[in-house]
Amino acid sequence: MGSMEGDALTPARPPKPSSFRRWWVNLYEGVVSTAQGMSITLRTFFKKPVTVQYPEQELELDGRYRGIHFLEQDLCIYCDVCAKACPVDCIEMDATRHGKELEWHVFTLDYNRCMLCELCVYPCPKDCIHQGEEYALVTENREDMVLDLLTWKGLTDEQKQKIAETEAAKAARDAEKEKGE
Amino acid sequence: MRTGGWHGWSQTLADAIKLLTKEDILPSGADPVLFRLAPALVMGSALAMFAVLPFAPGIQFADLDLGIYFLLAIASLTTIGVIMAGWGSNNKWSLYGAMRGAAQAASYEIPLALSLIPPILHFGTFSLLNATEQQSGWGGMGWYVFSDAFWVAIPSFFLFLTASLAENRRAPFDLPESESELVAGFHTEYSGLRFAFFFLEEYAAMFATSAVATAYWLGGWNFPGMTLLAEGSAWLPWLGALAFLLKAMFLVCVMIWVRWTLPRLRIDQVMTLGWKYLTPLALGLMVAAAGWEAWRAMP
Amino acid sequence: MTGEVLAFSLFSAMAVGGAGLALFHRSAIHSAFALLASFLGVAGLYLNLGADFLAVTQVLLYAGGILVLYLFGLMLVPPEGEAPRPGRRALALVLAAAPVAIFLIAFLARSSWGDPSRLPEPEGTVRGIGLALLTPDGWLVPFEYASILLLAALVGAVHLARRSAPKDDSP
Ligand code: SF4
Ligand code: SF4
Repeated sequence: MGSMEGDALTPARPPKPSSFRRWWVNLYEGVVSTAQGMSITLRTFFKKPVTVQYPEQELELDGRYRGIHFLEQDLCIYCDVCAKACPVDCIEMDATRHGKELEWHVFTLDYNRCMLCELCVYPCPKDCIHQGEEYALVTENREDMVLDLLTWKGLTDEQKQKIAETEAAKAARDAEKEKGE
Repeated sequence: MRTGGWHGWSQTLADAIKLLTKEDILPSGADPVLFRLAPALVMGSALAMFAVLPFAPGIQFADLDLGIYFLLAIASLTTIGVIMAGWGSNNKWSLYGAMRGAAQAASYEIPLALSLIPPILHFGTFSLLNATEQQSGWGGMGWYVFSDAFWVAIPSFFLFLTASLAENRRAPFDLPESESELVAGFHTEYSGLRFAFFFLEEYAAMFATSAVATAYWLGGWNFPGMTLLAEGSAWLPWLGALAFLLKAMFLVCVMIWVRWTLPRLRIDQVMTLGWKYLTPLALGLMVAAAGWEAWRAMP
Repeated sequence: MTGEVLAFSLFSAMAVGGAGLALFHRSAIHSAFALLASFLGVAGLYLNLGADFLAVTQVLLYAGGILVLYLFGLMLVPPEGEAPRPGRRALALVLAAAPVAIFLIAFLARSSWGDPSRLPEPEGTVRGIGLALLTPDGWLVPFEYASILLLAALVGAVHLARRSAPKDDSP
């Protein structure tokens, strides 16, 4: 009970006159609360663990998971809005316009800095930059953390395929939703 | 588990090899003699405790007349080792850890020893072997906690467990090493095998105190159904040792279970618990046990 | 027999060496740790004489209790570097110690040493000590007298330790 003694949050009140009775109350509460705590840990001990053995097992991700980005290069109009929106300034792009055609030179995203906040995704006028479900981005040096979204340089084929699949699934879900509305 | 075979069983071995092969660092500001002596003292006294544990009929290194008294004396030497390590490391954290260890051990040795007095009075012996032999009644269930003095035995058992937690510097009394504020307390500067010695000592002492509790309160190697075995059966030592180890390991598990449950106490709370609660309780139990045993011994 | 002599030499070397180191080492903490060796040596000597209870009590009380308190106290005092060399005071100390030494040597020279091989095998001494201390035929009254003395000392220490008697300092 909080009234007995000051704890971390409520500063100790001036001590009341000590009484033999309070000694017994403290003793009783100490024993009972320890027993309660022990019973809680014991019950939890026999529950199935909620942790998974990660590299072998993986969690089912929610459809809205914000992982590594995915760019639909054909739709992109080189408007730089996503790069401007990014709070940590980690998107870089460069292209040359040939009339309506675009010749892409670079579109990189620096995952050293990116915090996967999705702020670059919302303002895109063509809705062509997305975040996929891939999150395992392990590299041996910092340079490899800068991914080229044009070619997905640095991602394995498997990862690329997974991103593509995720995007397809997302698109299908969105289409479904639109139909519903 | 990913590595180490079935449920990672070989991780323990790998850990041991890792600790053996790690670099042994002597900090440049440390006191070379004390720094080196401390782990040896701590480990040696922890191992010496095992000498008097009665594992099974005929499996005991030394049946000293003074069994438990000897064990308490040896256990108190680990405190010196802790202080030596803390001072020898020449590190503020180590020193704080050592001071806490000294204050804590000096306070909790008293309830620890006092809580042992009820069983000592009941069996009239310091010898763990003799005490175990006296608990073989009722087909192996004549444990002290089931005897007519159970109302003293059970509280004193819990008192002993609590005090031994503090004595072995286990959570919630792990202030000497409290990793959240003192890095690793008195063994901050240790590495490799010397570091391993401190950890081994902690677990060895846990087992030794659990074994003492087993021998005095939980009937030692006596297990129900042991009267079914033929007199002098060759199975008895083995099954007895198994029963003893199971009981002692159960108590070790309880200590670990306490660690899951209770957060670390503050030093003033540790002192309050030791001096104002455990010590008077242990004294009261001692008086109660003495009165009860005297009453029973009356003609 | 030789084992006993060996043990005796070892333990007395520990006791005397530890005590000497405790006296002459110039860092207080090292002196305290040297006392540990001395205490253990004395415990070993007791054990050699068959006084097992005394030996274990020596370890429990002196090494495990008193020494821990010494060390605790030493850690609380600020480090002042090393103690100064004794210098001229050494002469006074030697003069003070000389009568004790002379008395001890005279005592040693006059005592008759029995034949150790005729001593009975040592056995547990707990029972004997308990009976001697706690029966009216033994030393019950001096024993209780000593405990009252210690109790008075304890109460006095507690009284001195509280700066002013506070109304309440619990729990
Ligand atoms: S997710 Fe956030 S941090 Fe990463 S690129 Fe987009 S806006 Fe920048
Ligand atoms: S906001 Fe969209 S269209 Fe504009 S540059 Fe970024 S990805 Fe391309």
